[in-house]
Amino acid sequence: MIQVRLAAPRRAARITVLVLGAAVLRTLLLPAGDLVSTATFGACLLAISWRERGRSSSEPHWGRGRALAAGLATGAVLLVPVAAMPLSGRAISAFWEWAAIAAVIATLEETAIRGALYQWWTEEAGPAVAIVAGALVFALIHLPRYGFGAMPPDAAVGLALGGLRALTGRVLPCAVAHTVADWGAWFWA
Amino acid sequence: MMPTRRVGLVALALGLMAAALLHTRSAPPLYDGIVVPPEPYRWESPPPNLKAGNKPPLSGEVILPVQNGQVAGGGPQTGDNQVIMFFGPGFFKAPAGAQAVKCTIEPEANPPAAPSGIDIRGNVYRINCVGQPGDGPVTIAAMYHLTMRFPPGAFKEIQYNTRPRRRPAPRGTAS
Repeated sequence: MIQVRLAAPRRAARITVLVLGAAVLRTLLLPAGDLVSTATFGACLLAISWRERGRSSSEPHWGRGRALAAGLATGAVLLVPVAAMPLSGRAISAFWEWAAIAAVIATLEETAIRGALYQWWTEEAGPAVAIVAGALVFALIHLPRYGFGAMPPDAAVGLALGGLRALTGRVLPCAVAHTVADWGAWFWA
Repeated sequence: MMPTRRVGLVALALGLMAAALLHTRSAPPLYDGIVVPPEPYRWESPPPNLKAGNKPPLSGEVILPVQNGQVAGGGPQTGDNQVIMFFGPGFFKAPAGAQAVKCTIEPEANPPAAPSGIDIRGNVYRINCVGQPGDGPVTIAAMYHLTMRFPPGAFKEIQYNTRPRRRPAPRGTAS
């Protein structure tokens, strides 16, 4: 066990590079349109998650209902500072299509970062490193779209989602919290 | 509690606290890089076809402290982000005894009529900066940045008014 942890985290580093590579590819494809670049990014994350799908963790995990409640609660807490802002005037009728895309991308990010990436980093370097690595990757993949100013809050949210993953032993609450936080942008951003 | 869960709980608490502390109005509360469609323009006096569903424009306010005799940098922005201003440090000369400068942006319900040949598209805003306490006048000492959102529609040229004359805004800088 000690030998495993001291070994170079090769698989974890590889998954990290793959996720970051997907974000770079998305940025390069931006001139082709947001739909194409986002769809490609999503496909890359899906491929990473799919490839690692068989790796089930032996760690104990929370029941589905409890994990779902934790995800909803975390998403709600993430929206607290935003909720003080005035409501936007975006029409609710246009929300659903956007919300579906946001949910899919958020879920794929979580299955790749809090799923595959977290799993490998935990096995090769421990859960603390896995949480921090996931938070950094989470901040870095959003850098091209939001700039350096958004990196600290994104890293903080990544830290919270990594913590949620370690606490519950599941990716589900992370995907739920991430999606809820994103949906808030429609109503408050 | 197992070590992994303890680490998770600590990270979750730290992350949530840091996210709340680091949140700013300019940082988007969106974490997967998807573009949120822009909010519809908020009209003070909407055209008849946009009256339904229109939300009134919001005002903005900021208080810039005077530090070592110099007014700090910063700027107001309206709650709907339709007008954003930025002043660098020392931009204002505050009246003697002022401890701060208060700047407000208010949508103008009854703006003066535009000169002939010129259309006012969207809202007119009144921007006011005064020294505090006392509401004394402040003097502008440097350049400032003003970003204004305007409603969609074709136009030939955007002009800005530097009384007594109007000048065309260079292309690419009007926003």
